[in-house]
Amino acid sequence: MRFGTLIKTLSAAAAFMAVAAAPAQAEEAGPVDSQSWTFTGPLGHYDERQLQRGLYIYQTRCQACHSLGLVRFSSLADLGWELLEGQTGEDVAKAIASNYEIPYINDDGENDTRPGVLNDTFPWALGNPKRATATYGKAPPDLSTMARSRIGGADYIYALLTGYDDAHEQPEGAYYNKVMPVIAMPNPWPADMSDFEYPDGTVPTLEQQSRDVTAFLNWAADPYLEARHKWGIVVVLYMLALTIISFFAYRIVAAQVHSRLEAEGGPEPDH
Amino acid sequence: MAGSRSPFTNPLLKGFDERLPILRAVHYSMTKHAYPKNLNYWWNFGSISGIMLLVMIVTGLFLAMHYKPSVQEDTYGINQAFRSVEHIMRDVKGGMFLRYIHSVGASFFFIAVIFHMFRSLYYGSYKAPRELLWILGCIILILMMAIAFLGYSLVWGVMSFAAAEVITQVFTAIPVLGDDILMLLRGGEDVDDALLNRFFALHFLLPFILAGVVILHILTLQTVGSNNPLGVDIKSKKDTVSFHPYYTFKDIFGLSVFFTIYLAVVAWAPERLAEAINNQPTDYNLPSHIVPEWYLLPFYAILKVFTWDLNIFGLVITGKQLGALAMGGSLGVLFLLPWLDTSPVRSARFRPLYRLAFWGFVLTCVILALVGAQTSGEAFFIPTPFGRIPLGFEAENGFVWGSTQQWGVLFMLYYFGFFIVLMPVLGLFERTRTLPASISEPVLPSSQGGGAVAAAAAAAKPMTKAD
Amino acid sequence: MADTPNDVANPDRRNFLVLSTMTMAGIGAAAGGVGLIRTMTPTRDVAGGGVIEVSLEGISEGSGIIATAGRKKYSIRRRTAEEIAAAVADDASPMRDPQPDADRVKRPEWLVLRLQCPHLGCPPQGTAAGEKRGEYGGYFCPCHNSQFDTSGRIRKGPSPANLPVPKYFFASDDMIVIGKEA
Repeated sequence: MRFGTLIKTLSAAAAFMAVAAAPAQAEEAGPVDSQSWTFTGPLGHYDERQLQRGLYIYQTRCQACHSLGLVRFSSLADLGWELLEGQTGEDVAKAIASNYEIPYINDDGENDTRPGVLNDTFPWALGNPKRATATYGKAPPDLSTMARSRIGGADYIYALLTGYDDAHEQPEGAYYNKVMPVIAMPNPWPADMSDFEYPDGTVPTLEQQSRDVTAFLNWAADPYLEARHKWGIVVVLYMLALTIISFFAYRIVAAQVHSRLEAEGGPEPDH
Repeated sequence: MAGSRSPFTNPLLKGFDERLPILRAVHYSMTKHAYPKNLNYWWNFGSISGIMLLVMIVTGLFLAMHYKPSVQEDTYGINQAFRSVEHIMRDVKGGMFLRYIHSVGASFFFIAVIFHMFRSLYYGSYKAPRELLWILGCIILILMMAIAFLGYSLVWGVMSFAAAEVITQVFTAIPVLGDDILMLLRGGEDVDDALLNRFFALHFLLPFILAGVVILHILTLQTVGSNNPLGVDIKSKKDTVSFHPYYTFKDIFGLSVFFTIYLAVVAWAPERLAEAINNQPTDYNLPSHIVPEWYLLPFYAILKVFTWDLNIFGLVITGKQLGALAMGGSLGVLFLLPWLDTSPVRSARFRPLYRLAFWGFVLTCVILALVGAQTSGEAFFIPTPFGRIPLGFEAENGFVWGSTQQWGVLFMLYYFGFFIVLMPVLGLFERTRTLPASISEPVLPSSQGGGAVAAAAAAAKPMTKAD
Repeated sequence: MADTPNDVANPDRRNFLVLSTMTMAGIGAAAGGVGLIRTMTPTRDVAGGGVIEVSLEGISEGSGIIATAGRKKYSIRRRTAEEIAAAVADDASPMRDPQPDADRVKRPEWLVLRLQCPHLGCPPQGTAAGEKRGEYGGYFCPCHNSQFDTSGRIRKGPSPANLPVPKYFFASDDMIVIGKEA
């Protein structure tokens, strides 16, 4: 390719990337620093222990208000649990599920609850949007896709969770957060966390808890990230091989075609 | 073609072909039809676009097996349409790949078509006798935009609702009947279940109509023949090559490169080109920042820069109406292109002034896309990986110099000026470079005496086929 | 391909490259096709949906319950000694679909059947107390009068086969899992 054309093509590519990035950058990003996560980058993967801790934080600090209405208990089976003899990940997930009460209409036609099974999704403690709005004025959003629905994703969630400043005064009903100066969500962290413990003994600093629950929420929004990355490696390597082979096939076919064209010419032009 | 004899010897193929001669038509175009031998890689994007259409239809069909077009909400407040998309991502085996191949595929379909169209603009592939080919292409572009808009709405996320709300509202710009047309489109006053269902029906149907137009597009191409980078007609069999095996293998190679990039994006950045907020179910409120998908941005910019009304002798045209007219006009002007361009020379390789205008047009489209993504009243900026380059500022009195809207108006003027002013004028007054006598003849240097005569003769009638 | 590789320096190399390209492209397309068909398989939320656990607590002798898994109905009956004896006694009797009772139960006291008449699919009665049992004291299909015995075998009427015995196993003495073998 001629140099001038190469420059133009690269400029076009750069322009395209600027345009494609434009909507993302046109909004006010706020002070969201980028963090390092195990799941970012082409070889991104989840740290299973972190996800388990994150689940624990969700259960202890978030689920009183926020639902995970798209996440089934069955998906918890793959979180790399330490298993007892003869136990499977599914058994662990089943045990977690059975601790939840799922509302349903019983055979007498009345509102009732039953223990959760694998196929159920996490129930909402607030029950339904109307009750949530009546209780809090604004229904706390479902968190199943939160890591995908904010610019900055996990970085944004982490910045929000660590961005509270109780010293900052706010009018009644609103709270202050560095990421969203007027926010309806109160500070989820109690002032005194000295009695809080992780089951596996990890030091539960505010940053650590924020990090773990953020990783868990990213998993909730993107549970098959690792599978997708593995697929990507296989597919792109295969496509690169196909590209190289097809290039040489094209070249050798072209050489043959050109030598024949020299001798005989191509098809007659039709009128 | 049907009058010729069947080229097949296999009795099954021969028997079929004698009763329905489509096989011999394909065989003819692959092996006997004269293609220019000098097509470059910009010519790959036609076949790439065709394959992308196939990918979109096939993945779309399998998605439709699981999608539910209903706004009904469950106890979590999540509507069924959104939930069914998440069901595809989480519960359907391979569903995540199916969804991302389709959503990223839409972007790559547009990338291929955009390169394909800009190739035509640069090399004059829209000029006689290819006017109909170009017009069918414009129809394809409009259908693609409609299909993409409909498909995006189906997710029923925050931005899906915004898209449906804003674009159906544009129809109220039509005088007298506008509100009734809006009611008809929506099946009611609001964007709700009726609209979602009919959007699904239309999103399923239109791609097949698109495929039909693509077939017509290919048929007329076969009739008038492909253009080439020199813009000079095929004169003899010294200029030609058969499609197979030369361009079949070039196309396979080009497709491989394209698909490598496409599938890499599916694997590692599938949400990169999308709006994050659409991963949240709609609450039927418009978000603070409304943007369509990137390939619709330039047209969205033209729609929204008109914030003032026009008063001509008492007749008032509102800003909304001006925006709608301008957006329609920006697509309509494309149809007139073959007649707006007056130059006898096709390819920009031999038109130095037109080439400048062309790159100006490319820049215009990029700038208009950025305008479409930014807030009208604020200072315009260029986003780069290293930060924003501001192209405007707010003065002390609050007036913004170099606002997004101002830049939008400026480059919209270039957009229309390129077609309505530059194309006709350049063709009449531009001094073009000397055209080669034919595709296989090298360009004769003007310093050679004898060559100059031949070159002049060639330049006098460059576009005509050899008699 | 009708081309004669007369001018190619190395026709074998050409054929190899062309063949490899077409093969790799074909494999890629086939892999894509397999992936597409895979999206049509039962989704993860129903994949194990046919399996249910049924508690046997509280089912007294001579009564039974109906358990549902999705759209499938199962009959779980706790047979009396008389019912078991009648079933075993008829093992050698002439019937359309002969099958010894022992082959149809894991524990003689518990009869687990799919409540779908093999004739045209209606759910037969006879599980719970008070339902019609027909002449053989087992199950009775009200649609076309098929009559089944205390082992669920067809004895009279149009059904071509016995009531089906599903896959199941005893997870414990008072819990069975229907839908899969242990």
